[in-house]
Amino acid sequence: MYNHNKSNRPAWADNLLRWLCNPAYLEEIEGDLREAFEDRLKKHKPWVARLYHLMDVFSFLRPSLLKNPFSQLNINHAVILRNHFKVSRRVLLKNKLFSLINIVGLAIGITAYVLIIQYVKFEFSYDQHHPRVDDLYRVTLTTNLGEKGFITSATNHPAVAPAMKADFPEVESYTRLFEQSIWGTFVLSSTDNSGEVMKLNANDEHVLIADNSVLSLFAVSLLQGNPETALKDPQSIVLSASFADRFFGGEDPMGKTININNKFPLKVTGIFEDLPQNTHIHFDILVPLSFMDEDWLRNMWKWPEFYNYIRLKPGTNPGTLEAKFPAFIKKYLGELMSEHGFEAKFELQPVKDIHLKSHLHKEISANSSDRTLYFLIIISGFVILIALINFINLSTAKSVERAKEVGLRKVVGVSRGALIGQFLLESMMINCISIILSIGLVSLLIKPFNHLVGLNVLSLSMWTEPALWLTLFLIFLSGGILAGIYPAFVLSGYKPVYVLKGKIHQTGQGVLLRKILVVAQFSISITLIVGTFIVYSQFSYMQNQELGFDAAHNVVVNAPTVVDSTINHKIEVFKSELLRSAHINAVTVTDNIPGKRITLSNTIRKQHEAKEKGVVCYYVNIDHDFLDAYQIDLLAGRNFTIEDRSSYGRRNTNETEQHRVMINKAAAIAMGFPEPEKALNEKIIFKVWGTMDGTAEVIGIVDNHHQQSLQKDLDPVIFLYPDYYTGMYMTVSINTRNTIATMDFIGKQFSEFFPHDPYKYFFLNEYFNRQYRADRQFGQICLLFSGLAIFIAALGLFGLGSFMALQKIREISVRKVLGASLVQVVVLLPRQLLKLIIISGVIALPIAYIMVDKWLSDFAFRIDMNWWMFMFPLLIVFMVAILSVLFQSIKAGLINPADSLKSE
Amino acid sequence: MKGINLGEFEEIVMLAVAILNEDAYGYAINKEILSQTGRKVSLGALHAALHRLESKGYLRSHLAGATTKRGGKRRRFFCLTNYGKKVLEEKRNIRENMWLSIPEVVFNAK
Repeated sequence: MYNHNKSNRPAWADNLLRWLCNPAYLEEIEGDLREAFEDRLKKHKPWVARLYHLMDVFSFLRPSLLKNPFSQLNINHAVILRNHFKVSRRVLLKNKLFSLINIVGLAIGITAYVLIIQYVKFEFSYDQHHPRVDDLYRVTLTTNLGEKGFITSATNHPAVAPAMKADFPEVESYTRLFEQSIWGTFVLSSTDNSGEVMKLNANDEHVLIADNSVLSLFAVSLLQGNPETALKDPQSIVLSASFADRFFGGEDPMGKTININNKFPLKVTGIFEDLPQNTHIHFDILVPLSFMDEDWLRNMWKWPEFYNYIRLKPGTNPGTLEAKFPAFIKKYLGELMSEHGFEAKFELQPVKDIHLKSHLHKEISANSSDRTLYFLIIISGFVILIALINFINLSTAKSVERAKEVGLRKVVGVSRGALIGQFLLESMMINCISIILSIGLVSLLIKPFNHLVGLNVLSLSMWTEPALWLTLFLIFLSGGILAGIYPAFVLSGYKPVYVLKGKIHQTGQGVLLRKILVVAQFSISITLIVGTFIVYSQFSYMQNQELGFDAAHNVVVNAPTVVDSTINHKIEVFKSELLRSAHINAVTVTDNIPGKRITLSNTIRKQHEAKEKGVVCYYVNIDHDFLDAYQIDLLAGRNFTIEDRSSYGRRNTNETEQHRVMINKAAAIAMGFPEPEKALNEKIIFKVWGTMDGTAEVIGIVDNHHQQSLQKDLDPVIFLYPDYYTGMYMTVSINTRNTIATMDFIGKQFSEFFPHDPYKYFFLNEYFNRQYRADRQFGQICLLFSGLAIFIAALGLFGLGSFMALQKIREISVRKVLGASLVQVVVLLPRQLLKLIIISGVIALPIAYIMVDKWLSDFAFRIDMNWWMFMFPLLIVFMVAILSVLFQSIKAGLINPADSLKSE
Repeated sequence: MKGINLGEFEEIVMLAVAILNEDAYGYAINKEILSQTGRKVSLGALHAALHRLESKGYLRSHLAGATTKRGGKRRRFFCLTNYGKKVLEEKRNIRENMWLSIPEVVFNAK
C-alpha cells in the first residue's frame, strides 16, 4: 500500500545513497540521516526538512564514503584473464586451419580496407591546401550557342574576372589561367654557360599562361623570386624546381633567358616548389598572361578558353554574388547574345569541390567522382564483412567441438559472462593478429599500389597519422565484437547437463544463420564480379572499337615552330623527302590530332538560314594528305588539293572569298542533311575570323571519327585547309614493324629541315589510349578488390566445407554401407551449396544490373549488356565454391565406413 | 610528540566524542559540536572525519543500539583509543605551554 505522507523523505535520495555509498557505512549513515530528519521535522516545515535532508544526502557523496570501484576487481580476475589468454592461445594453435583461414582472410580484408581508405583520403585531399580555399571559386560558363542545348564549360572569357573585380566589391582578387596548347606549340630554347643550345618542345610539359596572382591565390611557394612581381613583366617566366633542374641541368636558373619559338625571350624570375599531386591544376612552367595583349584580353568576351578564378572577401555568401550575375551578363554580353541568339549563365564553383564534383566541358585535368570513391569504400567494407562472416560461420560450425569444454567449465562454476568474455577474447586475438599482419602487408604494398593507381597515395609516413591508428583500433574493436558476439552467445548458452551426456546436436537455428551469411557472402561476391566484368568489357570495347581512323600505324611528330614564309613549301619538300622511304605511306600536317580536345569551335549553318539555326562545330586545320594518313573514308565529293587553300582564319581575310571545306557526317546531319551525301556542293556559312561570317562550298563529306575517348560523343567537324601555316603536329603513317629505324630516318630528315626544333615523336594509339587511364585504373582496382573478396569467401567456404564434411561423415558412411556410390555421396555437399548460390544470384544480379546500368550510362558508346555477362560471374562463383568444398567432400567420401561408424 | 596529524576540525570532533563519552555516535556528535561551538557541520563531512580518525587509530567504534526512532538502524558508537587520548593531551600540552610562553605585554599592553 502506498502511503503518501508529507513528512516522508524522498525515496530516490535514499536509493541514490544505497547505490553509491560504501555498504560498510550505510547503516549508520541511514540511521543518522533519519534521526536528523525527524529532529528537523519538529522545527521546520516538511519541505524545508526535506530540503535539508537532500543536502545531507549529497554531503555523503564524497570519495571516502563511496563504494570503492576497485574493491570489486580482486586478484581472481587477473588469474582468470591470464587463463583466458592461455586457453585462447591453445585453441588457436590447436585448430590451425581454422585460425589460418580466419587470420589470413581478415588480414587481407583489413589490408584492402586500409589501402582503399588511404586512396579515398588522398582523393578527398585535393585542393584543400590553398590559402583561404573556402573563398576561392571558379567562374563557369553555361551557354546554348548552337542548338545542342546548354553546355557548361570550366572555361570562360578572359574579360570575366577583371570585370567582376571592377563591378563587385565582394571580389577580392582574381587570376586567369590559359592552356598553352591552345595558344600553339612552345619550343623552349636556352643557351647554357658553355654556349650549348638546349631545346625542348613544351607540348608535353604542363605550361600555363597565367596572371601573376596565381602565385598567391593558389598554394604556390616560391623558392626564389618575389611572388608579388614574378609574373608581372610580360617577358618573365616562372619554373618549377624539378623542371628548372631538368632543363638547366643544375645551373642556377634565376635570370637565365628562355626563348619561346626563337621569337620571344623570357627571363626566369622565379622558381617554385613542385606542386603536390593533389591539386586540380598542374603546371611546371608559368608564362605571364601579359605575354598576350593584355588590354585586348580585358575586353575579350568571345573567347571562352580561360579558367577564371576569383577569391571573395572573407565571409561572402557566393549565392548573393551569383544573384547579381544575370545583370552583369546583360551588361557585358547582352549585345552579343541578342545578335547571335544565345544565352549565357555564369556560376561560381568552389575550388575545393572541383576534383570530386566537377565534370564540365573543358576541364583543366581529369577529375575523379565522389560516387566512385563511395563505391570503393563500400567495396572495401564488403571485403572486411566477408572476412568477418567467415569467422562467424567457422566459429558456430565448430561450436559442437567445444561444447564439452563449455559444459565442463560451467559445471565447475564459470559464469556465462566469463565464458562470453573468453570467446570474445579469442575473436579479439584473431583480429589483433590480423591487424598486425595487415600493417606489414600494407607497408609492403606501398610501391605496387602507388603504381596501380598512378599516384603517390601511400608512403610509410602514413603510420604516423593518428587517424589511421584510430581506424585500425575501431576495426579491431568492432570486428572483434561483431564477429565474436554471436558465437560467444551460442557457445556459452549450452546446457551442461545435455552437453556432458553427449546429447548435443547441431541446432537448426545456427544452420539457418550460417546459410544466410553464406548467401550474403555469395551475393556480395557475385555483385562485385559482375561489376568488374562489365567494367572490363566496356574498357576493352572502347579500346578495340573502330575509331574511324587508323591509329595503329601513325606516329606523330611535333610540327616545326621556328618558321618563316617559306614554310609551306619547305613542308611539301620534307614530305616528299620522307615518302622516298618505302616504309612511309603518307605525311600530314594538322593543328590537331585525335585524342586531343579540339579547342576551336564555332557555329556553321546552311546558306540562307537564320543565324539562330547555326550548329556548333569543331574546326580542324588539315592538308591534302590528311585523309590518306588517317585512312578516313570520303563518303562523297573529293579530297582537298593544294588549290583549295583559303585565307580562312587570317585577320585580313576577304569577306567575299569563296572558301572550300570538307565536313564530316555528324556535321552534315547536324546542319540538317539527313542523308549526308546531299550536303555535297552546298554553300554553308561559317566563321572565318572571330565572329565574321564567310561562305564556303562543301567539296567533300568524310566519315565520322572518334576525336576523343568513347565516353564522348562523335563531334561534328569542319575541316579547313588554310593557306598559311598552322601546323602543330605532323602525322606520319608508317607500314613497318621496324619503327626504330624509320623514326631515326624521320629524325635525321627533320633535323636537317628544321634545325631549330627539337625532334620528338609519339605513337598515336598510345596517345589516344591515354584517355582511358582513369578507367583502366578503376577497372584494375575493381578487379583487385573483387578478386580479394571472392578469395576470402572461398577461403571461408573451404573451412566451412571441411566442418560440414565432418558432420556429414556419418550420413555418408551409412549411405555407403547401404550401397551408395562414391559420386552419389560426393555430390551431397556441393548440392547444398548450389541452392545457396542460386538464391544469392537471385538477390545479387538485379542489384548488379542496376549498378552497372548506371555506370554505363556515362558512356556515349557502350557495350550491350548480355545475359551471359551475368551468368558468367554466377558460374565463376559456383566453380570456386564447388572447388573449395569438393576436396573435403571427396575426402569424406573416401573414408572407410567402418572407421567412422565403429564409434557408434 | 612531533608530527601529530590532527587538524583543527578533527580535534573538535575528538573532543566532542570525549564529552559524549558512551553516547558518541554520528548525529549526537553533530549536535554536540553545534551546541558547543555553534558550528553547523554537514553529516557527510562529520562521517568522513570520524572514519578518517578511526583509520588513523585515534578512535575506535562499534555498532549497537537499534531503535525504532532510527528505523531499526543501528548506531555506530565512537570512543577514544588510548593513543587518541594521548594525542589530544599532547595537543593540549603544546598549546598550554605556548600560552604560558606568551610575554605578558602581548595581551595586556593597551
